[in-house]
Amino acid sequence: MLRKLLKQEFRATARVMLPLYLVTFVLALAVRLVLLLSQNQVLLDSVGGRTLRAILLGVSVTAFVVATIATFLAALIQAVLRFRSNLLGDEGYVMFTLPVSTHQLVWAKLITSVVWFLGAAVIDVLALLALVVNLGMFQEFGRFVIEVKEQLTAYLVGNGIAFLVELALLFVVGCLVLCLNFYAPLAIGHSFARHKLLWSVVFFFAIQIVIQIIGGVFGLIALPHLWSVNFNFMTAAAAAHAMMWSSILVTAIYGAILYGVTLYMLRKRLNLE
Amino acid sequence: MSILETKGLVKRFGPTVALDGMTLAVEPGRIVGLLGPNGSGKTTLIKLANGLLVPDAGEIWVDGHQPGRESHAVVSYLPERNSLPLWMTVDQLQDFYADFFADFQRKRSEEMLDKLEIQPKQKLRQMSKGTREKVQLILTMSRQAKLYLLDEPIGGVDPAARDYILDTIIRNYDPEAAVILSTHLIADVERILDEVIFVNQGQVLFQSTVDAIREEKGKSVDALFREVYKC
Repeated sequence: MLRKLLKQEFRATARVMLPLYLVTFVLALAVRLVLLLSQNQVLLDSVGGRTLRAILLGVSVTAFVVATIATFLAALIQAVLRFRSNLLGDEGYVMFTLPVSTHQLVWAKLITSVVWFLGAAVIDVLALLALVVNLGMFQEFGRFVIEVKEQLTAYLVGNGIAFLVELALLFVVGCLVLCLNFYAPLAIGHSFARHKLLWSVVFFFAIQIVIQIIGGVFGLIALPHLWSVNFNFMTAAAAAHAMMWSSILVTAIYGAILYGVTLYMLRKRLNLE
Repeated sequence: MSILETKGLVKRFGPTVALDGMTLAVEPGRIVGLLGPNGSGKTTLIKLANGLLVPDAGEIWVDGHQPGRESHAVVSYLPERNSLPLWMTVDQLQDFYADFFADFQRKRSEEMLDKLEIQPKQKLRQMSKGTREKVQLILTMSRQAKLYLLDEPIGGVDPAARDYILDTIIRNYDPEAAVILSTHLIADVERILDEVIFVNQGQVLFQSTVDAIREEKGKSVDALFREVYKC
């Protein structure tokens, strides 16, 4: 059933996200075109000279930068709005009476959101490449790959791949927690009979403040102990991995708590009005 | 076995008691009117049967299960308001129902839509409120469910649409299944009911067959309702 929920989620969200991705990519090509045009003096003079170039470049670059940021922002807004309207709004009457579990309902939202965040990252990188890439760059990159290959050792390859995997995992866990940061307060806020949105905002900030306090207290207690530990037994790579894994673990624990709160509220305190 | 059974069901919303120890049982093969004035607990009971609310006390079983995944598979629910996504076309909604409900009869749904001249490619957003309600009813009644829970199915529609809705319910009703419909528009639904449950202030006042009311009390359900709930 999760597969069917995901199909439904992607169908609902792709309507917004795919056109936005397309706009971002097209804008990158537009900036590229403006840059190419501006290098041609004859053409430049015939269409209005430097002022026009500056205006065109300014507008297209600004639009491109806004679009690249908007891909991430839209993924987040989409994640929050879908959760609210589809589960806590009128559509909740249909969603919560499907023969699926609450876990599946929440995970369908989370997985879809993570995919759109990843998509935003990929499309922004592709758009940047479309903006700057040229034949010389390909040749340069080829030379760079060969050079790196010659100097690579098993140690570097192993640690490099492990670090990339850890980074990707941290990104995914981070995206999940980012969504849950909104899901939990929304689920709490919508359990009230009135002022549901206001309560959601209140609980959003309340959770953030509690987390800051817990983080602060933990820092005060743990840091003096950490300073006294001698880390000389670790290599730089081992220390980096340890740092990455502890970040993933702490983020995941925080996410699990938010997930638990969200699930409890949806199961026991659902209040569709 | 009863298709819906409750024992001492209690639901509170803050200081307000919506259900106050409600006990009832509905058998398969009946069309049952859940009747009562506004705020008597009809919608709360239907929400509890659908697992949209959790009781504070008492018990509720739907086809022998507590409300949840298993019961959702056998209950076809029509909420009191439009709850279908407005961005979806009728075709997409039929896909959605077919995906999640093994008992969804697509052919039946298409026939009803066709009869009402509702375009499958049309989005819900482009439809009038009344047409949206009809689409939702058609999807609900196109399932071959064991229990149909219809919350105010004729509340917001014109008299002509009311007749259509009630005919749709009778036409698509499986004799093995039970239909529970909540309403306070008794006169309109009386002709299709086998049984009635009168509720007030979160409790069952009485449960009886329509024939028994007519024979024993010599009144129509509508007349009895007016008498019982006289202000």
